[in-house]
Amino acid sequence: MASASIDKPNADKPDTKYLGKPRKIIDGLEKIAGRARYVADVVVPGLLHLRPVLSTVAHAKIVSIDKSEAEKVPGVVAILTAADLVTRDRTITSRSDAILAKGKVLFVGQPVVAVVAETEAAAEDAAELVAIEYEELPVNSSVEAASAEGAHVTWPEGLPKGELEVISHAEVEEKEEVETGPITNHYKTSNFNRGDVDAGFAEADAIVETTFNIASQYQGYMETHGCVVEPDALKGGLTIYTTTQAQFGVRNKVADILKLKRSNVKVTAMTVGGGFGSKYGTIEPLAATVAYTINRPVKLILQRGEDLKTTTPAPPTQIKLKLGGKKDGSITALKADIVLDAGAFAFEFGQLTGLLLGSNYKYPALDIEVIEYITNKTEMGAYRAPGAYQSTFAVESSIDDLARKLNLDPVEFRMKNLSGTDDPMANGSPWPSLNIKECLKQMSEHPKWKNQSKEEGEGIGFAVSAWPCALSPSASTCRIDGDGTVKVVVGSTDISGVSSSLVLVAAEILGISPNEVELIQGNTDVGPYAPGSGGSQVTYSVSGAVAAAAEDVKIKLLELAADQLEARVEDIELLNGAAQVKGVPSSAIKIGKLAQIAESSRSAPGPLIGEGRSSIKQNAPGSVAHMVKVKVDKDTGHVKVLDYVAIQDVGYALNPMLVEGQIHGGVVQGIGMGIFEAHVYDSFGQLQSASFMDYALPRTVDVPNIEAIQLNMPSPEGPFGARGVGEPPITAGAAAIGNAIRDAVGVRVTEMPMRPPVVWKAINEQS
Amino acid sequence: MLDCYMSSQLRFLLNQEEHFIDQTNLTNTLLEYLREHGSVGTKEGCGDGDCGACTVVIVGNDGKGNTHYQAMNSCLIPLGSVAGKSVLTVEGIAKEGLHPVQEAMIKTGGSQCGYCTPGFIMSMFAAYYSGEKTDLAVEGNLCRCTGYLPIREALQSLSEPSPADPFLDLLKQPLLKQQESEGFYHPETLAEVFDLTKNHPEAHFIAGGTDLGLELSNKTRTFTDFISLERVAELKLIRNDSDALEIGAGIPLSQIETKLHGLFPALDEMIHWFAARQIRNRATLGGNLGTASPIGDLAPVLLALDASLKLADASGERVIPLATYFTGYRQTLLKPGELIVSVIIPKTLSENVSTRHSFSYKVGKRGTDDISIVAAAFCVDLDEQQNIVKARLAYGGVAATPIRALELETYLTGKPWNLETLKEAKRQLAETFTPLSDFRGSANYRNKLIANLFEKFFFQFSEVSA
Ligand SMILES: Cc1cc2nc3c(=O)[nH]c(=O)nc-3n(C[C@H](O)[C@H](O)[C@H](O)COP(=O)(O)OP(=O)(O)OC[C@H]3O[C@@H](n4cnc5c(N)ncnc54)[C@H](O)[C@@H]3O)c2cc1C
Ligand code: FES
Ligand code: FES
Repeated sequence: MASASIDKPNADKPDTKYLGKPRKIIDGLEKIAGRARYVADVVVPGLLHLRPVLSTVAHAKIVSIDKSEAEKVPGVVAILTAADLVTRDRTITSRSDAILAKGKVLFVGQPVVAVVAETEAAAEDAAELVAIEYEELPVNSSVEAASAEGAHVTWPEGLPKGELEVISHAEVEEKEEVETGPITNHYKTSNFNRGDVDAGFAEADAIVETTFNIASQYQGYMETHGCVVEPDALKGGLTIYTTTQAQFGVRNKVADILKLKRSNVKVTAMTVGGGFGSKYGTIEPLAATVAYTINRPVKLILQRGEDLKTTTPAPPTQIKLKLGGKKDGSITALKADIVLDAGAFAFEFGQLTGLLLGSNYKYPALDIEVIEYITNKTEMGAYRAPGAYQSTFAVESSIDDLARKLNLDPVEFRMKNLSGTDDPMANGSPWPSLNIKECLKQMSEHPKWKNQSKEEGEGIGFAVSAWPCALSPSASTCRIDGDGTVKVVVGSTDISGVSSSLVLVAAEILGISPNEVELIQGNTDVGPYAPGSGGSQVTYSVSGAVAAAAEDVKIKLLELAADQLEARVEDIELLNGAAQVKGVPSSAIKIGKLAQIAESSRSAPGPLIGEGRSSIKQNAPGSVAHMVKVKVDKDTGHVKVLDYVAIQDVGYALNPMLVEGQIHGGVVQGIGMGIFEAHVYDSFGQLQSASFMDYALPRTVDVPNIEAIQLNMPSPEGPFGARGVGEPPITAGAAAIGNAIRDAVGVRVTEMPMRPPVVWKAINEQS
Repeated sequence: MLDCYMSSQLRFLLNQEEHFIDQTNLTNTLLEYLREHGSVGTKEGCGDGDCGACTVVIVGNDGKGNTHYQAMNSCLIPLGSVAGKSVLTVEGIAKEGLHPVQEAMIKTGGSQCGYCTPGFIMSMFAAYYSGEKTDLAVEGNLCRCTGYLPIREALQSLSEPSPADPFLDLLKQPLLKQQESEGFYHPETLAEVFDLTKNHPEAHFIAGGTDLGLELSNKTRTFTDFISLERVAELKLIRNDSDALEIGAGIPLSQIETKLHGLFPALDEMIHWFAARQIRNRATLGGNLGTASPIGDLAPVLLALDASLKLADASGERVIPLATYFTGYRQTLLKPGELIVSVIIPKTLSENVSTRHSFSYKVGKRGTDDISIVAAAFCVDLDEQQNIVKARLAYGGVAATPIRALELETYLTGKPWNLETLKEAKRQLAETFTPLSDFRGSANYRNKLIANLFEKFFFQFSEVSA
């Protein structure tokens, strides 16, 4: 596995002992021994099992629900419908508060009945026997259907207003828009405008205009959604064990739905078996409401087929893109019409898709419109870098085509037009420190680009992209125990081994071995507030808090040591787990010893504990350039990825091994969405890709060699110069593959995924 | 529901400890059992045999009389099939410190969220002892986080087991004495099978369970009794004579893969594309033909190779051409209580044949481990003048049953093996079948594949270049 890390000469790289050096994932041992505990492994006394009965039709009135046969199954404890729940009067406004359907179902996979039994098998048997009679209503299974003349309107009184769900994947300034006119399925429009687009196209020497269709895609985490909810009789609250990226988010959502005090809901995030944007509390409200209603602990673990139907995949996206450019290599105008299929409830990332589409290049004139439609499918949600991979597919395909039409070198053409630091995004805000050009330069100097070797049917292509990265305030504490162990407590959930980076931060600052640092993921009662682990922000936001907490306890440690050694604080240094007078090893006192003194001596100021907070003001975008070589079988349309180079500006890699893991994982997801993965519904709104056989993820044999090159171009505000690294690597893969296919067989594939039938069709229609 | 006999309990070894199986649970899956009995290291990712998170290792017979470790999907194995076997899970392989495959995974960073990890570890464990240190060993394991590179690196870095490895010793220990169980029978001869079918006419045959296990795992169908074909001696035979190859219907595909490799390239190729390691360790020819799926992958190959089936029931044996076996959508000539004993593939060529070309192709979204959009297999016998003596073109996924292009085959007889013949063949193939459209591929695309795959075959086996 070739990989590299390149420091820019101007980089102000900190001089470190642990940080920036590859280090294994700290909880890797437990995972590898099969000892890590996931939510499905949780057992509490008196635990009951919940099985949801999901809607089998996409749009219908519920005529009747007959529980009588199901109730006869031995072991059944309760069979509940919406009317039986404490939430019976609540309006349904989103997927997560569609706890059980009321009167109507809006999509296949919507929970209608909850069966609770003493065993999973009894719950499953009983769920089979619940008889629901539906009166079917017309179904809009696509935007085409939802926008047709006379299409039925899913929300005739307008979309119900819910509380805004705060999920920060990337910072976008929300503009208020007011829809006027009759209520239809078209519920939202967002626009970005700059300059005179018509004039821009008029002066262009060449124009490309293409419609791209991007399928819905499913996050594909290996562990399905699930949770265990235990009512707390005394406090009247709940304890929730779950698999989530955002334990505080889940706490707030559940508390608000059940009208409980937020602090009476305690959420413990277990080891999370992957999330990728999906695990923000989709099913916890259902399990919590049921547990609260019957006042018994329940466990709900979705089966894969249920998870595929009832959670929140990425939206089907159509992008009509028109791009004009001049022979001198300048882009003159961009026009884009983005149509999103939101599913049955409002989608949150429509505007973001438009923003990202118009920001990577400096467009003198642009006109972007994002239109969102309601259909009869589950709510669409975020998948790693939401909006970015779709818009990059359209933009990078078009840029490549335009360069070809203008007879310009695809690298130089991009170099001339790419955005850099302070250039305006589509909404006019300046980009923070941004290095797409540096990534592309690095790629263009790569031997695999400079000395291309291709056989018959092979092609090489590339694409660039960037992801703004989110940021949120967060806090941490750091304490030193009498045995010398340092305990860092955070409230964020570890979805990708981020803890091992946080450990390095504390170890570095305190001058001790990372083996002596333990990271504790506190539940929502004891962990300090932290944002959800999404938007590539955990390392970026939380490591700042950890650094501050470590600095805080370090001061206390130094003061205590100075006191003990009868020296001045400035003269004390921390080295190898001990404090000493600078340059006098014989004076060293182990920090564990100091902690003991702090804990026992009446004259000392108290136990050693520090707290830290961070509130970073500026996001730190991650940029990428991906180059890929493919082989296309013209007879079948089958595409094989042969080789891959992924270059990414990672700012400063706190733990390069983890960063490399993020890049590899992201690249392979990009390959999956590029050539395999489509979440497909038929015209009745039935999900066709309802298993891992039909929703095909890439496997080991599908993965080429991937060379990951990390550029260290520190961000001005991130801790140690770090940038978000989780999302950028997924953004450019599909686009790069599309460009490589163009190189191989001379045709532009405009549909994603580029599966054999699609590629074959393009070859036969265009050549 | 199964009869509830609590009398004689079935046993199996889990991480070398004896476990007793309750008779009422025989159709529960091994995965359910493990998780209910505290072995929660083994994970469920799908329950359908698609992800490998549930992979365990079972000591099996390699068909040459040796025991070896085999990775299998515990979500598809009914407990009844586990009786008498020795099962290892991730909890049982760390003896003195971590197992070498675990060490390797730590070193390369092969685990991120960790959910897939125990399954990978078990696939790699089997590979460590079999020596299969390639991607194929883990092709049945999905990971969404790592991008597979560190896992591949870990696999390739494995050395040979040392002679003192305790798991080599374990392979030498005798397997548990099998016991009989009510409701899940394990006959060892055909005669015993037919005794059972007489007394239990409603009982269902089960071989590898990779089709039936899906129904058990998803609880979509309930069964009364099962007759397992796993130990029936007559179904395990291989006869490799000069005139024909006869393959027992109960032999797992991975054994065919290793033991019969090189005899029929078309068969080798299709088995390569068939599911993944864990499934091939269980799936059988008999099950594939018994299910009679129109998209079953082995039927086209066997049709192209002009195979026959040996069938048997209590009244005796008969041999029928496979070409007559499929009678309609998931319907066959099999009578109730009759089973497939073996598949016979002829080897002798007609006298005037100087060369035989045969090969197979599968097109899916992903290639391997995938449902075919179209599967095809061709066999063309040529005389010295390069004229076609006999051609057979067989397809899956284009009709209600696996099917041959009989009219075209007749037309091709006597024609020269050249571009002109190919052109005419492609023209005819475009009109031969009326495949359906579904989300995997349109009728038009399927029709084009039907012709293009034959073209691919032609260029692969002629002097002419494309
Ligand atoms: C993840 C996965 C991937 C798969 N991939 C493929 C693939 O790529 N290609 C493909 O074609 N199939 C595939 N399958 C389907 C399945 O693996 C095959 O059909 C397999 O050959 C079935 O064999 P078995 O021994 O497991 O059958 P079982 O499940 O044991 O039996 C299947 C049916 O055949 C009957 N039967 C079994 N043996 C006999 C016999 N000797 N005589 C008469 N009837 C018999 C049984 O009664 C039952 O009705 C896949 C399945 C899974 C779960
Ligand atoms: S759980 Fe996915 S293969 Fe068994
Ligand atoms: S490590 Fe998360 S699925 Fe493999």
